[in-house]
Amino acid sequence: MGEYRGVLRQAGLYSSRRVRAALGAVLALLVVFPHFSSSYILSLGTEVLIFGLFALSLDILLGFTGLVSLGHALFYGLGGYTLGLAANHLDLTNSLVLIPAVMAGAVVVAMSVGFLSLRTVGIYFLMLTLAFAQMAYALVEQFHNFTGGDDGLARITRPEFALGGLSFRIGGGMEFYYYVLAVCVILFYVVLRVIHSPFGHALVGIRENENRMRALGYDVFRYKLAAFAFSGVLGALAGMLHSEFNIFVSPEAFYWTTSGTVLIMVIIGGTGTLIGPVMGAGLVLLMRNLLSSYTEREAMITGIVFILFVLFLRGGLMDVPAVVRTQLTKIRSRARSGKAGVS
Amino acid sequence: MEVLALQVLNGLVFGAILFLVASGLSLVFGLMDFLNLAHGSFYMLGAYLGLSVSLATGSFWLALAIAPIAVGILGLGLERTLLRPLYARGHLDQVLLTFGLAILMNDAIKWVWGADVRSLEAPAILSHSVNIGVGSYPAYRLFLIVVGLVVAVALWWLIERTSLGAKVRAGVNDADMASALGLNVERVFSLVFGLGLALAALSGVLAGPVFSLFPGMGFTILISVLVVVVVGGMGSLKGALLGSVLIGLSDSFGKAYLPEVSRASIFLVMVVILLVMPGGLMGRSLRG
Amino acid sequence: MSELRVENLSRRFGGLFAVDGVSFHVESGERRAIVGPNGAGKTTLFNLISGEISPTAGEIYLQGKNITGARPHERARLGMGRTFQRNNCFPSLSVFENVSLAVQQRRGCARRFWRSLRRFGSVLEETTEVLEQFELTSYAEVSAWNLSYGVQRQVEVAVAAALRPRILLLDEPTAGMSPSETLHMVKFVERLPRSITVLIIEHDMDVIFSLADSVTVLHFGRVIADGSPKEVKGSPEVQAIYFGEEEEAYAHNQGKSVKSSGEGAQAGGQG
Repeated sequence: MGEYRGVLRQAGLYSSRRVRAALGAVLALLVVFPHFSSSYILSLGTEVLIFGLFALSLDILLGFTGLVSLGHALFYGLGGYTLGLAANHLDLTNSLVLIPAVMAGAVVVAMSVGFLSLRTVGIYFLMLTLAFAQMAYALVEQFHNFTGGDDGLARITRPEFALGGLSFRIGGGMEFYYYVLAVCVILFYVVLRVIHSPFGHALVGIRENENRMRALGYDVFRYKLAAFAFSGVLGALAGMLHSEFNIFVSPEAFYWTTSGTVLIMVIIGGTGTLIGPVMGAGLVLLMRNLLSSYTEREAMITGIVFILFVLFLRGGLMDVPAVVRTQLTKIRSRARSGKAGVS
Repeated sequence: MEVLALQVLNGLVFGAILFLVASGLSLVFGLMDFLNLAHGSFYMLGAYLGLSVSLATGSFWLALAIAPIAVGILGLGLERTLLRPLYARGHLDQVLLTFGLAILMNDAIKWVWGADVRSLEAPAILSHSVNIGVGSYPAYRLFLIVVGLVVAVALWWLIERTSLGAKVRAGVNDADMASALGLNVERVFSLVFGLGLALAALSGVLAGPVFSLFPGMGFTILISVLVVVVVGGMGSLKGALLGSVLIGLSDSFGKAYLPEVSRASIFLVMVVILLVMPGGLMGRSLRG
Repeated sequence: MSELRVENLSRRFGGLFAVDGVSFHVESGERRAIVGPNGAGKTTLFNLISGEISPTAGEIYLQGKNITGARPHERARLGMGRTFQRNNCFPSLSVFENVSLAVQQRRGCARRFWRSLRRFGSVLEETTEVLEQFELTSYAEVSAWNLSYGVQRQVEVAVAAALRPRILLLDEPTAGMSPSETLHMVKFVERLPRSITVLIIEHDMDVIFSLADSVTVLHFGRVIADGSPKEVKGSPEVQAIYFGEEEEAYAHNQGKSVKSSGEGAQAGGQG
């Protein structure tokens, strides 16, 4: 199993020059990437960033607070539908209003759902999150006059920032990519700060041993609620980005397949690491894109790959260096003892 | 047929289907502390296997007999190979694995049987309607309710009155202690697991004529069943029964009287219950 | 005013009284041992005092304040610390991180969410001090799950003590330890300042004699003796119970297993 890094250790890691240099290099790569890629690859890259953010938001719950949610799509859909409903019913497309609206909506939903779900033991929380997401799905499908039902909502626009008389529209392709990149980088930085703070340390403590935290005086319920809200806001922003990307939103955004996909991304990438989920998003989307051109059995293969990861590489991609090292050490020591003639 | 009675009966039909699936899921959890998210997929597998047997032999009853047995045996094998090594690993890994399994099975079944909506023929002798005082109602659906009741009683008898049941109860209370007292806990686990899946498969075949067969039906039923166990509490037969009846009725009444929220009615009932009784119907704490 | 007062405390599970009408009080600075055979209700009593479970009858007072309805984290904030019998603190975190969770809570900065923990010099300093105080400095960067059992239990005590509680509940701190580890733990507990009241569940008579000012003996959930270690050991009722217990403990250490007298097995019985 992957060795979780406590917050202090992880913060130390991220302040080391090597890691910072690596992050800088990655950022530079992400910035120049559009100039060397086809529009298809650019599109894929944009999607990876969006899902990377979505996966990161789930990891706050799963990897850092130890809360397993099977209904994270609830926030994803919320983000998209806030945009859709605003555009269709209020003729509102100003991101300066919409972004806070998405965040506020996410907080309200997180508080309500969290209030009902977070006082329960783990297994029920899992079931409840799934149930609430499905409830949203059912309601959205049902009120088709209001929400467009199964047809979803169109008329969502690319982001538009308007203040006073000035307005600034972000277009498609590269422009949109840079917008998404900016949002993701900013939010990644925010997550970094929050996770490495005493609050983040407390979340990790809750993951490790909830009862012990209570015995130390922590009001665990409140911390969980805060984590749930934080994670929800980020998930909703990811959903918002996705609907801006597709200029469309449908009930599928709330469906268990969406929650399942992001969960798979987090596990495959490596929970409790900040980079892991993003890598997981990349791998899963890449795999999907490659597979769907050759076979219809993409879901089955994803399922098999996921099972293999859970069984044999539970720490995910982030664990690969450590596993490789361990195997190499084993091989070397076997070779050595073989040479010496010792069994 | 008087509308109210119709809704009640329809609700009980759905409740019976739910109970057959929920009881297995709940028992397995109570005994093994293991939430099998693939449980719905075995319901689905049972339905499709039943379909094939029914098409091949022309007999619904053969399908009803063979599918649960086949699925039960498959379940036993799966438990021994795939799941047992995970007991040491903790709940999250079990949940993740069964989730992956569910996705796999869903697609595999789609591959073998195709993505079209299929239907299972009800047996001929039950394809008529029965006059039950307040009107006439399909015999097959009445049959379903009866089966649900019979299984509930049989399970109760099994758990409360047999030595196997005592072993299960001992295991539910404290698996470590039971094992220390010489109980072959692993064997009991396997049996209960297989039985749970067989019940789910049975439910799938029975549900066939009433609801159709379609890819994704495994997750659809799983979600309803999860609502059932949230409301009724995990690990108890009584909870599964009460929850199933309540949710079945909620769905039926919701569709009839609140068509605007019909698809979400079971969730709304769940929310109301959680608000009023945070410990679920049985008062048994969801808080552990 | 006593530091801790327990009045007529009971906890029923179905038909069984795990704790039955227990009353006692502990003075500030006292070292009180709670002893009794397995199943006597000691850990249940602790769980009642720390708030993990609620009583079916009776009251608990901390410094004269009725805390019977208070939740565990509220009691911790009022100055009650505890260690757990089967709890591994925070397994994958380093010893330093373990202790710092207590320190940051004590210093009131646990809710800060923007500044990196590494920049909270006061928390880091105090954590270092606690580690020094408990001679755990060499283990600072080791993950708790890589530690030997004895050291893990020591970390448990250090974490609880880092909170600077007024009263500390130690649940079998020497359970499963070798003689040398036990000695270490005893020294540990001896080193705790007298400003902290200590309540300790223990089986080991030597430990009790070294540490305890007074002893409360539980049997089947009831208090059957209360006094200094000498008085309690001399009491005929206690001897009757304890001789059986010591024989069992002795036999157990020799690798044999002896059925505990008078204890009905909790689970299914024959089936």
